[in-house]
Amino acid sequence: MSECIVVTSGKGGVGKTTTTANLGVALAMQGSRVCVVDADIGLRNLDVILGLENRIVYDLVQYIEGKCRLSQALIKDKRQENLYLLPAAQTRDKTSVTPYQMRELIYDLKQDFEYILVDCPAGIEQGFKNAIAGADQAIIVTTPEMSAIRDADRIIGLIEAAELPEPHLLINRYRRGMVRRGDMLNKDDILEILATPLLGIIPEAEDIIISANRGYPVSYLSDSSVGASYRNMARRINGDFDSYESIQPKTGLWNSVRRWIGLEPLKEAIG
Amino acid sequence: MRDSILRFFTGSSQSKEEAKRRLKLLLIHDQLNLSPEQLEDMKRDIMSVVREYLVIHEEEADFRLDQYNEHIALVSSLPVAKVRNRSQSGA
Repeated sequence: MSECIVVTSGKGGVGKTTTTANLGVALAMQGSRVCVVDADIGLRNLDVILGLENRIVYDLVQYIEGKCRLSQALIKDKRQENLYLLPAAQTRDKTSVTPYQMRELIYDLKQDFEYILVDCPAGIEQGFKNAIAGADQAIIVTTPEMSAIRDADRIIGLIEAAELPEPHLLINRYRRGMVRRGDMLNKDDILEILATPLLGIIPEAEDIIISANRGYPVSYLSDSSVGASYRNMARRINGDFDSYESIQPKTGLWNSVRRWIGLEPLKEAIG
Repeated sequence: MRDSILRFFTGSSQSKEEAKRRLKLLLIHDQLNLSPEQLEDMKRDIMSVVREYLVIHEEEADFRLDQYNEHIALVSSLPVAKVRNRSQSGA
């Protein structure tokens, strides 16, 4: 059984592409055959996050227009043989593709892949409609900011209107220090406002920026707590919901002391 | 922690509470998708009905949408000056 999951948010810049790349890597590491699709036609970036920007020959639009075979457009990841990228066209725009063509494309990909993750463009127009067209599930990425949550609420409504199942929420750029001080909406506040089940939480982390610089998703890093959070979410997507409980914030005396004096607790893996 | 001590003494509130309150109202308005124009028309119509029965301090009349348990509520506060004498109103 293959499944197509769209990663969407409404607002731009909240981490859709990073999420798609890292969940794709993590799912592939756990043994699934995965294709990540960049649906942000005209503004492609998923290739850069994965470090595959130099390998692009053909793209999604050329495949849809019949100018190449699917196997020619797909790019195999450098490190994971289970992971493939279907890049977006950079010199075209969102109107080059219709929702019908996207459904056909996803159908074709399903013949060969267990998971297809679609990186949705920001906004609620044509690009969004294309990205959700072939999806079976949706992951909504948000940050603990008013504007991102407002847009997430709008997107959740549109996902519901498109008759997709209830989406799952990924809270990105979570800052524990600010949450502790009461200057950032916490997990429970966000879940209360959006009334959507949680997939996981990713803290604001330098690891993410460094890994984007290197084109080496953080999910590959076995010693990164952020990478562990993504791998944990991938296990949840695979249906192992217990894994969520197994990685909880470390407590213990030393961390309590650190917290009390205002330092970040050591190595927390959340989500 | 310095901030929380400061807050304890100055009594200033946590900014996330403000964000939460503002967001909830914002989403109510977004979800209802009621245009400001429609809202104004509704206020005008409600006022014209109430005016038949009561004399209202109209400058203090307040209409707003709010969350009430699981529902969105239209909350209005219409300070009453007096009951209108029906024979006076000419209706």
